[in-house]
This record gives sequence, structure tokens and C-alpha cells, in this order.
Amino acid sequence: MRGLLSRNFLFLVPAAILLGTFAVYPIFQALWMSLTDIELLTTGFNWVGLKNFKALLRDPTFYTSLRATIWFVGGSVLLQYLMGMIGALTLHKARMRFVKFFRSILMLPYTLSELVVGILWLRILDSEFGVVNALVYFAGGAPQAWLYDWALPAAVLANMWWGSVFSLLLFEAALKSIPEEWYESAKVDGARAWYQFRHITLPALKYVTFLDLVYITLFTINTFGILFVLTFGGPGHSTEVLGLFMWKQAFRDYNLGYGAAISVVLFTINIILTAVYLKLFGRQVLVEERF
Amino acid sequence: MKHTKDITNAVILIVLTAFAFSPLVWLLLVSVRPAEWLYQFPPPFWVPPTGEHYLFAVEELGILQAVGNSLVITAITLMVNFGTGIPAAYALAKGRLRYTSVIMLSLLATQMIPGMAALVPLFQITKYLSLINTRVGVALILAARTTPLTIWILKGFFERIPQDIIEAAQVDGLRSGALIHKIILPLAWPGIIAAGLFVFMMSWIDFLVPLTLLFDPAKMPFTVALYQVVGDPLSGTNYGVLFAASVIGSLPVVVLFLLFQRYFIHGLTAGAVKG
Repeated sequence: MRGLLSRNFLFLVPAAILLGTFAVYPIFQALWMSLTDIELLTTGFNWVGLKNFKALLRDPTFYTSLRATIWFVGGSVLLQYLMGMIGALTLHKARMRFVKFFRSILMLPYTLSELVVGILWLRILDSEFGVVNALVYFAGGAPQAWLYDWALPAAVLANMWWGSVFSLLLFEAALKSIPEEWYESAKVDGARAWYQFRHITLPALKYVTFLDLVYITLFTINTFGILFVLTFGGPGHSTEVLGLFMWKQAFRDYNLGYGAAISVVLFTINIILTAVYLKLFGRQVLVEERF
Repeated sequence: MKHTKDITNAVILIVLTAFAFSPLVWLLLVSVRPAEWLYQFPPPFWVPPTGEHYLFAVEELGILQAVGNSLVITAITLMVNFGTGIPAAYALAKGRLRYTSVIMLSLLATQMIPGMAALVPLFQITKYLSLINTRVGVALILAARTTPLTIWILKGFFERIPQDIIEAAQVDGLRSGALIHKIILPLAWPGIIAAGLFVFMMSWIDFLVPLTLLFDPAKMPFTVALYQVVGDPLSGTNYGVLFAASVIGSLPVVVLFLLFQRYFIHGLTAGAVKG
């Protein structure tokens, strides 16, 4: 039953066809384009080898962009994980009325598209008419140019507000599926809440934590919709994460080949980060029967 | 002791909810106030509400038709996603396949290319398959984007189903199809609901794929319809209409969430499954 032709492999065929066509092929296409000088809206192209990559390594914007990406992704992932985990634990443990109501409110940000999230926070943080500055004003403080002087923290805040929902729902679903018996022996021993969390809950959530961290990292690295609206990379290039840098190159300046090279770099960063997570969590998240 | 813990819990929950909700309160306020309200500083506390933005969104923007398109696209996405993802997750969890770890990693790898970079190749493929300017084409791409997540989530849930339940059912003579239908799916229900919610929400709010692949305004989902109000070069962005339209666009997700929430929170049916 363990051969490549075993009957169980047939279960994978529909997914393989779907993903092969619409997910794997574009990756190879991007790899191929990164080795050309292809432009958007024109047809001809030349093979240029690694020229795009060499140009990228000499491009000072690339390094500014890399730095912005590290802060934006690092901040977002950490805060989304914490918000999601704390939210899921409190929802799961809450013994009060209206828990369903709280859960429904907490998931609401994720029903808005990134575009709307960006515009919403753009208005809220606006230096002239923003509601945050109105509150600051009523409290007797001095209004701030939030999207200028605090651009990166503002972007992380907006992104966290929206993205934490993913972690929250994922963790709560996983918490609900931890069998109650696992805690019973610990209760008999009179174990403290922290001990239970540390030695039962966290290990039981290992698989889902790995999944969550990998996904929110990939999502945050690969999308930039909120930043696109909120700062468009500014001031200067200080919030121009690599995804946005790629968009500007490929779709604003029509340098599709150069843009593809940036996306290959992003792909590589994603692979490295996933490998790091895998190292941290251990290979059993891939095969062992654990959740 | 127990009591203080419950209070701390409630306080944290209320703070988090307030953080999630307050920007939305503001969004709702803007959607029911005249456009000038946004440009007064400090903003006046009380202005009579107006339904003009909602009316505009429905009558001029065609938001209801756009929401209908979103429903069609998301429904197809969900069907394709489950149709391909559930069997694959089951085989990877219980099929004792070789290369399981390679396959699981490859699934993640498909998520690693920025969606933006895939747009040009996706345009070419859908054109080649004659799926350009069709909602089915958009749905297939969104399904491909979300299927790896479905497989990862459901693999975790399927693995929790004890082998002896499956073996007992097999001894009783249940064939694979019936086994999956009668035993596996009911037990993995919370996982399926969770995965379904993610797939639904992610496809519902996607914007770039339909923007790139659809030309016919009558087929546009609501996210693209919203985009028409953004940054209108003549009048600027009409925030009232934008926010009113996005409230309408969020409603189906909220209704769905309210309907399915109770399955989501049940967890694996107690008693039937033991860790």
C-alpha cells in the first residue's frame, strides 16, 4: 500500500491537478521571467541571465525595502500571534454570557478587504481630520502626523487589527479540539494554570502554531494592500516593503522581469523562514499524529 | 481565586473587542453621515443620520448584483476547495503515504509566491483554458490559493480521529466512500467548518484576481465594485459610499458566521473521540 501507485494516492489527484495548473505553474513562470528583460504591455523579450538579480543587489532601494519588510513582518507576526492566542484563550475559557457576541465582533475586521482596511485607517489616522487626532485634541494633546512620523508602527497596527482574526479563529478551533481528559490528570495533581498551559495546551497546539506562524508570515510578506493605501511606501521608501517595491517595478514602471526577480527573492525568503520554523518546531509537525 | 480569574478573562476580552470594534463604529458612522462631516475638525458630535450613501451604493454602484457575483464566485471556490482538499487531507492524514512530509511542504511552497507576481501567468493560463472573463476561472484560482490551507487544517483534524474507530468501521464492512461519509466527515465537522470559514473569508475579500481576470462589469464581485468609488479623479474618494458599500459587502459573511458559529465552537464531539 505504500507505493506511489497505491490507491490512497488517487485521493491527491484532484488537488494535484488544481494546484499544478493554478499554483505551481505561476511559480515557474515567475522564475523564467526573472531571467528575462520582459516588460508589461510589450511582447518581445531577451534572455539576460542573472542581470536582474545583480541589478537588484546594487539597488539601494532593495536594502531599504528589506529593512522595512523585516520590521513590518516581524512586528505584524509577533503581534498577530499574541493577539490571536490571547483572544482565543480568553474566548475559549470565558464563562460569561454573550461569548458568541464577542466572537462575532472580533472576527469582523476580516470581513473587510485590505483596500477598505487601508482606507479606513488612512482616515482614522489622518493628520488633519482623523478621529485619533480629534481624540488627542479633546484630551488636550498635540495632534500628530501619524502616517508620516509614525508610518511603520501605524502600518503594523492596521495590519494587526485586520490579520489577528486569522490566528484567533485558528487557535480557538484547535483549542476546542483538545480532549478534556488531557487536562484531568493535571487537575488531579493540582497543577497551576500556567503549568497546564505550558505543558498541555502549548504542546497540543504545536501543529496549529506552526501552521499559523508559517501562514501569517507568508501572508504578511506577500501582500501589501494595506500599505499600498496607507503610506504607498512613504515617507521616502521607509515603509516600502518588498511586495510593494515589486508592484512598483512590475506594474507601475512595467519592468516585469525586474519585478519577477524581486518575487523570486521573496519566494526564497519565504522558503528560508519556513525552514527556520520547521527547525524550531521539529519535523514531526509534518508527519506525526499530533494537533 | 476562580472568580478573579473569570473577571481578568472578561476584562481582556472586552478590551480586545473594543479594539476590534471601535474603528468599525467609526466606519459605520461615516457611512450614515453627510460627506462634509468628515472634513470638520473637531468633528461635531451629533449630526442626523442619512441613508443616502446606502441608496447610492445600491442604485448607482449596483452593489447588490456585485454581492451576488461574490456569492457565486465564493460558492464555486468552496466547492472546488472542499472537493479537492478534503480527500487529499484524508489521504495525507490516514493513508500512510510515502513522501507525506514532502507533499505537506510542497503545499506550503505553493503559497510562497506573491499573489501579485502570479497575476500575469494566471492571466495567460485562464486565457488558454478559455476561462478568462468567467467567474468559474476566478473561483478556480481562488480555490487553488486556499486548498493548501484546507488540507493543512483538515489533516490536523483527521489525525485526531482514532485509528480504532476507522478500523472498527472497516471490519463492519464499510467501504471507503461510506466510511468517509458516515464516520470521518461527522467527526471532522468543526475542522471543516473552520477551514470553510477561512476559505470563504479569504475568497470573499480577494480583489486582485477578479480585477485582473474579469472585464464584464456585470460579473464583478463587490470588492471590485468598491474600487470604482476609490480615488475617483474628479470627485475624490466618496468615503460615505465606500463604507456603506463595504458594510453591505460584509453582511453575508457576518450572517454565515452567525449561522455556523455554533458548529465551530462545539469542538470534536465529546465522548466519540478520545485523544
